Amino acid sequence: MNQLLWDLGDGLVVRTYVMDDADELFALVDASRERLRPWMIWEPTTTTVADTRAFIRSCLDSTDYEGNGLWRDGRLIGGIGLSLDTLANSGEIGYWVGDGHEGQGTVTRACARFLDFAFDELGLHRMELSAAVANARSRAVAERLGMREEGVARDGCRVAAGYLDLVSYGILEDEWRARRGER
Amino acid sequence: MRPDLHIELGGGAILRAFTDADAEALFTVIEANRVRLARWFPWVDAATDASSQVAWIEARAGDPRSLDANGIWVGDQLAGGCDLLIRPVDDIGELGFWLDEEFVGRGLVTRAAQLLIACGFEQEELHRVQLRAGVENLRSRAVAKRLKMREEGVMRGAGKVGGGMYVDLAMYGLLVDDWRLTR
Repeated sequence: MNQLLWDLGDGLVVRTYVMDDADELFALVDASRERLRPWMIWEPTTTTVADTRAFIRSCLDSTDYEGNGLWRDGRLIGGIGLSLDTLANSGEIGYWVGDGHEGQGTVTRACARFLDFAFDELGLHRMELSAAVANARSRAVAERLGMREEGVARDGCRVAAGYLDLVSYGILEDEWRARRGER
Repeated sequence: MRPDLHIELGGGAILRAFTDADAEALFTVIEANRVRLARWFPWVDAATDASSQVAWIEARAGDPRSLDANGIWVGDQLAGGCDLLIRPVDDIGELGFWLDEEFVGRGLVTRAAQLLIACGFEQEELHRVQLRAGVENLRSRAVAKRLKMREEGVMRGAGKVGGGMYVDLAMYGLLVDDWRLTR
């Protein structure tokens, strides 16, 4: 169980979900369902608050950092997580935002904090991010973070409507440090 | 893994699932090839003795769908391994293989991989099989080409290998429709 609590300023907070968040998390997913469906593999399997409870429980029981909410002024606006590949000493970041909360740069700020955490505190060598080729908003996050596009896995993931081509981005520890101006 | 997996490769060679009784032979071959294998693979350091291999074989029994933890045998001699790990969330398979130096260049891995891929597409109804190989691992990449896999990108520093070094990994993919056309 790995719990995070980061104040990113301007009322923006990253906090690990606890069981008491299940109702609010499910409500936001449910209200944003139509927009999430084309991209999120977990949308079709999140049909009741019991699914959300099971998700939070599995996150709390895992050694990754997958289940975190993005909160603005105390209100849940999206989710973000980091999964680890311990053999490769790398991690992968994933995120979503609820309806009405897009386009405010919150995901990019939260991702930047996760990259700091991954390289400074976890000592990872590399971070990855995958997005559907057609998901321009998600790809823009990776590009703003200075991640490099490395390839396209054809039909690399399956969502409700079928398989999607997945573009993968990567950034290495020294690249992130250079970007922060440490060299 | 499938404890009952047993596939004839021709020329007296077979591909079959490891049992606890193979752990000693498996460790002996890894030990004899340790530096060669550690050049490309992250799992070599964890092979510390035969009992570490028993633990691995038993752990893989917990994943009954994947076609993994298989040895390539020539007569009663262990020549290498060939695995197809299955990701149940989207029916995508990940191929992996290795060989004892003495058995390199006989087409054993290509044949074993072809037959495992056929099992994956036909019996498990996989949609995609992928492979990641060290960019400089020309023998592995030649296998990918012979399997008609398409190169889709290069993930920088994505493989952690022996001695704490990192290698770039070329990513290959093969979709079920393309595979049918090549048959």
